[in-house]
Amino acid sequence: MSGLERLIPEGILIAGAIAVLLSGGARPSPRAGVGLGAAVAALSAIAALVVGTGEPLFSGALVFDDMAVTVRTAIGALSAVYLLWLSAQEPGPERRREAAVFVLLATLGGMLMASARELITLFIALELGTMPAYVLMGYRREDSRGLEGALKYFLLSMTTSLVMLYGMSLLYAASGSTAYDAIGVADPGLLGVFAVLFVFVGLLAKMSAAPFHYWAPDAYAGAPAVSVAFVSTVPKVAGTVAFVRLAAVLMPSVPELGVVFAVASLASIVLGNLAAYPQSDVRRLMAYSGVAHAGYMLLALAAATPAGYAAAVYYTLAYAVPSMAVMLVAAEEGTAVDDLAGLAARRPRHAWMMVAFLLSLIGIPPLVGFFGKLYVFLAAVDAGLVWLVVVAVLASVASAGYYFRLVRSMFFADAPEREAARPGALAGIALALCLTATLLAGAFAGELLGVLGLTF
Amino acid sequence: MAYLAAHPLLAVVVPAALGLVVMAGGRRAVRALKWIAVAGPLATALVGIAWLGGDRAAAAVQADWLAQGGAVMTAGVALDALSAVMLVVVGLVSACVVVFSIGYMAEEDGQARYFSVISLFVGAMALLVTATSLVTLFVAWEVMGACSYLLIGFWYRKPSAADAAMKAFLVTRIGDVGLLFGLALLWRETGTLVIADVLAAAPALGAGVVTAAAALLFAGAVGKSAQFPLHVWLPDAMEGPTPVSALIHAATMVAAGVFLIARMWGLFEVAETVRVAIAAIGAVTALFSAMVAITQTDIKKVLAYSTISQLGFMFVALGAGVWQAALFHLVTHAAFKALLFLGSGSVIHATHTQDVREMGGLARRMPVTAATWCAGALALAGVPPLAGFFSKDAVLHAALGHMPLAGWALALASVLTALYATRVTLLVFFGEPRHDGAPHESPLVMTLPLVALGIGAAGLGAAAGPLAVLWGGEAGLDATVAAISVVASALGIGAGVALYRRGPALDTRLAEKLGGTYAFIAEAYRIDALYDRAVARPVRALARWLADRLDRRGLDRAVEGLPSLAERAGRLVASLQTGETDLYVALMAIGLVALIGVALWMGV
Repeated sequence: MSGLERLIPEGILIAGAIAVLLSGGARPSPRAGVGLGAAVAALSAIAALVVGTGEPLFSGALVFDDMAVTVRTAIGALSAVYLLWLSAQEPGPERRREAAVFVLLATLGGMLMASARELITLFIALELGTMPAYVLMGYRREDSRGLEGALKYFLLSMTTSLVMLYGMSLLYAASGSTAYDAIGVADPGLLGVFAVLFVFVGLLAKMSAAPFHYWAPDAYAGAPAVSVAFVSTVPKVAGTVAFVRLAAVLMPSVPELGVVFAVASLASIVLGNLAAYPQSDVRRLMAYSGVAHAGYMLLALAAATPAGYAAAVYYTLAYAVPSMAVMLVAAEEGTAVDDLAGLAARRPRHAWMMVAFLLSLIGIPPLVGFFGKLYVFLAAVDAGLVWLVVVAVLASVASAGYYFRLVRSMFFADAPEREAARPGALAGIALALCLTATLLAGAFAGELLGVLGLTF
Repeated sequence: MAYLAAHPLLAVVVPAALGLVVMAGGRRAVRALKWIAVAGPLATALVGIAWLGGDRAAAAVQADWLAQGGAVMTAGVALDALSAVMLVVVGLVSACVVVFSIGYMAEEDGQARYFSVISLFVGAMALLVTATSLVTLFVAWEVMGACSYLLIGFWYRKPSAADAAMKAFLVTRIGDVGLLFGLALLWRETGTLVIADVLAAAPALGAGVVTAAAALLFAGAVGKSAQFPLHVWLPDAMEGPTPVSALIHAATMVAAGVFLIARMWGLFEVAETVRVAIAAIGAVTALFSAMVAITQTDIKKVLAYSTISQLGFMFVALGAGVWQAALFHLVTHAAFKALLFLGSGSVIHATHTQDVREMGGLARRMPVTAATWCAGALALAGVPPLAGFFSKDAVLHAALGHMPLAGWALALASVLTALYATRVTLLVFFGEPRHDGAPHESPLVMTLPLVALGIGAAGLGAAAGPLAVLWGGEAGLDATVAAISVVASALGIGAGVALYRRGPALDTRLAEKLGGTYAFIAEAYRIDALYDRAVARPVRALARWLADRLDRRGLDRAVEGLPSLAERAGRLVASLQTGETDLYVALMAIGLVALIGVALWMGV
């Protein structure tokens, strides 16, 4: 049992997923099943925190450094909040107990991804995290648009996964190993550059960074907002850690990667922020906003410094929380921007919470999004990427325009008379938890970054 | 009192905490809690008074907040001569505004939101003036921006109010970008954002760096203090409740820009090029918005353009190198402009209109409002011995001494100031009544703050001496400048009385005579329309074009709505074969090739 106790959080998730799946037979209430799932996810987050750091397992394939502990805890907590919200929907989305199982499995994949420091392990964890997402995105069987979006997502995601796998095989050919420590020191040569780029294409596509973002708007717009809330946030946190670990190893031997990331960052920021403007569907709008946020994350990576790596992870966390909360509100209210009309009159508390989430996404202090952007920009400026930062700052100002369209819609006078959504009190608590994190995580930015920056 | 002076954080925490209490209390509790909310700004003022009245020992709270790697950002608050005076001004004016609001907002919904956000706003302003590091200052600056968004958009069900709030927020953000870049530059060059350390390092920086940093900080001030070309948000912001205008446009938010430059004086002192630009922008703003103020028929719009113009006066003094004069004018302006805004609120409360053409003769019906308004208007016009005379004299003295061209522009603007102040006073309070109904004096809870501010507007000139001792400037009148100032006021008032004695008929006659020119001025030189055409529309068009090209929504639409499962399955395959997915894969392949090209081009 040397060290296997470090996998207790993952074990809890597997056992919990099975328990939730079987809970249908004994107790017919899907609500209770989802609630059990939320408890399982919360327990796994606590376990990840309690078990803490330790020596790597399986010859270094899985590491348990400070970053792994932080991110595994965060992923577990995010999933718990999400499932808490899902359990309170009445009448809830159909077959949501099964959805909870998929969410737990995707969380498991995300946790492994946060620890992976070996190529095969990374790939398996990545697929374990993504496979449930395919199902969640096409969750409404009778909706052809949803199925089409899910199928597109599947095909494009598979294509990029295969490109990535090809790159991994080339890396193995070049270095004779799949362990990060070995592939890092290998002399790259032309083959190595191709291999490394192929690997990162897969990750760029998962993060929906330009020019590999095409799947995101279609897939999100076809999927139920409930699924988008999860798929567009939690897996990205894990993806960023995988990105950071790999980049930290490969960027010293392939310095051109910095330029590649910078170019992808610039494209993502400009394109994402501009294309979000005319969208009339919240899911599409958030898809493009997600492209832009991937760009900011890449900007920190392009800095290629420990501070940059820490900033990238912190930024993704700072983005995931309010972004998920916005999608959850959209899932309750309807997915068109116009569906939010009159929310301030119907449910003022939710409208004001949305304002806080959107202000955080724009990057207004003292909300968490501001600190995320601040550290990204500081790291990038320190690395000499001044012009890129100038563009990024200007674009983030421009982003206020489309986020405020949502605010405008919520507070606009002529709201259509309609029934207010009435989810249970737990849904409000889930959103309030997101709000607390959005309001307060900025104050602990220094500590969090210190932890994230220690190792990578 | 010594305890207060030693704990500057109380000036921030008390109003902010009270704001949270009011918000938590909700709709029912606000009836009682709004009286307690007055304690917030009073505590802010008391901290300043305690420090000024005590032994003025250094009192600071510092903490290493955002440690990242080797670099540390210090956050903290402290009291000094500048921040203590600002706390007193901010606290007292805000207290008057809160008391006035209790009467003015008595019938409104959402009072809990109103009083809690006002309290938070006061806390943010207190944090801004006491901040010892630029990071703290920036956070306070943005919190204040967010609060002003909520306050201007208080009547959010009114689309024009929601738009005005958004505009104020977005336009000031343009300046904030400059400020943020300025901070980044200073951070890069000096390795610190503690204000004292930055200022100590400023003289040793290269000329280019100093100029760039000062210019970027000034951009932030231009946005926040509504100077040309970023002034467009302020007139629209009149959509907020009138006490909010008194709060935001007198003592607090718009003053932040002027304060920032005074606070960073060590930097601006060595950035002479930037100071010339500051004086030029200030003079242009002061003169041209005074002209607009003459043409406005909405009482609040007159005050809005007047505020922009008076802030221009302060910026000229800053440009001329005498920040003490600018701050002195800030102090007196805080008193008399808050008075005028609250007075206009009292009038609007009584007449239910904002159009000066529908007022007239109110002096008989609203004696307290009229008397205090006159004190404010005379102070604005610069009539001795009211406060505005002394501070305007200090500004003019500074300008004429160091930048004569800007000085003479201000002298001309003084004439126009006296003219519009006289015009609006005559149209509202004197002459024949032009309104229906029987307006009556406002309740005591609204007139008491007016009287308090009236005393300030009348007597603050006496503060010139003590302030000069505190801030190390010069006090005392210069005979020549005082003469110019008095002549300017007399000219303006005389012209105003001669022209508007008989009511607003002249406006229509002028509009007919001057035609397009008059309309051009009355619409504030149509700068808004220009921005819409030159900036807003092209960006929107570009975004739409990009979205059309990149976001193939049309295909998705085409797939909606067919019933049978077989058909759906068929179309599912078909839609994949129409090329959308192929196209995406192809595009991604092109992207990959492009990235490989970039990597190879960088040289392997």
